[in-house]
Amino acid sequence: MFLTQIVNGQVSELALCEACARAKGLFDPQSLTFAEKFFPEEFKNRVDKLVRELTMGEAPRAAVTGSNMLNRCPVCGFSIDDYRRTGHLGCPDCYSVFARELDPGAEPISSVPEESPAIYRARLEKELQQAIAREDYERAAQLRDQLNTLPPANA
Amino acid sequence: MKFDTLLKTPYTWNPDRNTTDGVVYGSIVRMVRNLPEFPFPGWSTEAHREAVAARILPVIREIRGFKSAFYAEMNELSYGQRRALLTRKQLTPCMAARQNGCHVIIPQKKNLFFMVNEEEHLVAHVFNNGLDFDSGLDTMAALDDWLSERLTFAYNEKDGYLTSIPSEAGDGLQLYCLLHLPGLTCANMMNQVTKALEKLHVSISPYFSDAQDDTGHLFVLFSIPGPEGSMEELQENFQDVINHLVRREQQVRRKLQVEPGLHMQDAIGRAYGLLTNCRRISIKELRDAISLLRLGTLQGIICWEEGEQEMLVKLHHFALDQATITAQAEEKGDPALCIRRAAAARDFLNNHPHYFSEINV
Repeated sequence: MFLTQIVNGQVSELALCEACARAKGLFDPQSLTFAEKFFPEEFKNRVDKLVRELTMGEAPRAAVTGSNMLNRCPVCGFSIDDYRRTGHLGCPDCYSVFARELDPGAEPISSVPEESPAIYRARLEKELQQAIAREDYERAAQLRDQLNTLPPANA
Repeated sequence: MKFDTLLKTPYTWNPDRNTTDGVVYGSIVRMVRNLPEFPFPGWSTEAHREAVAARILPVIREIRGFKSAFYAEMNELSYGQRRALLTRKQLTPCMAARQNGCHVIIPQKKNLFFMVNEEEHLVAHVFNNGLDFDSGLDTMAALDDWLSERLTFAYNEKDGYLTSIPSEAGDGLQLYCLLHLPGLTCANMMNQVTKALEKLHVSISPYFSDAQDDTGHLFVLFSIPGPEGSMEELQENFQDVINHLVRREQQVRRKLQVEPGLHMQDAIGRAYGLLTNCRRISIKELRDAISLLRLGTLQGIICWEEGEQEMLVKLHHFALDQATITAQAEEKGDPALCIRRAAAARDFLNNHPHYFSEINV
């Protein structure tokens, strides 16, 4: 289940597994719409509480996406849902990307700890694409130069 | 080495040569390793798998005895050939389903073989006779040192060697054991055994992967790696479970032998009668009958001039050879196979002098 909350321009995104969503009483997406429409105050309070709990690390199975968490491995594209469904990981870098999912006691992944060369390359490439898309050619050139200094992928 | 040559090569592991319990056939140590730069095989593209193979295969060729080994990409092997290798335990069911970019490497005179891009990038299995994990672990330690000088493996301080299944990360070693349990099977106790083993984190499955039942009374035990505990603890616990199971099997055999109803003697006599007189026999019937002949040999009911130990090995190899022939022949749809199998069984017994010993109950 995915929740997006915008408060004063700050975007918080939540990705909850089914078990956590049920535990928080958020198991029915239709009832959420209903709650939002008819009980806006209560709904806002409930989501605020959820966001606080998750960012404080109180909900072990929840993976927060957006500014400080990843729910998809930038190297191989494997998602956290794939892992939950199959019990397998996509590549060795998934261990650091999904560290908190694999070990609920682990530190939250703000920027991926000890970012591996492969993840670093993938992140730069993504930023490069975004810079080109918004026609920020100065930034794109910087990123291209940074990429050129890295060892080739799959070397 | 060609596939036909490989099949003519005798099995590198022989039941009962190192053990006298007549239950444990062999021990397998499995070692898995992954390259850090590539996705795991279950999530990789054909190009990734080929790149992994291009990195690993030349290193394997350098190992002594592997230059002339049997090398095959899985898409080169027919269904029958895969089943034949499965029967010989020189391929895993996971690998049997794979295609391009996945390789199997089996040397002629070694108890070690490799798979590339099975569930992990590099998988090595080493067999040893009887209950002997120490030799296998020593072999793997030496192999790991040797490989680590030539390849870099995915590893981190916290998790150890990284594998596609996080719960299996760590030292990347797993233990398997092959057991012959005709006593427990004939006493209809295998369901209880399976449930009890589950509680001890040990799984049990039929030896013959093509069979859904306990044909041949052969089983593979697998120690499920837990989140905690060292390999020493895992090995110790697994060996305790195996030793306990061996004692139970022997108890049941003794109990069945002195049972007034003579059920065991009757079953062994019927199996012998079937093999000496049949004109058509299915592979399941043959496996079960050979299993009972082995039981009769171990219990002193059938005596062989060539000696008990020698014949135990020969009986086992005969059953495996027939299973291998069946695996290949079924692909060709050979209708005369049951007839030829029956003739082979009669010839086997005619060529190995023996007699029945009367057991007084």
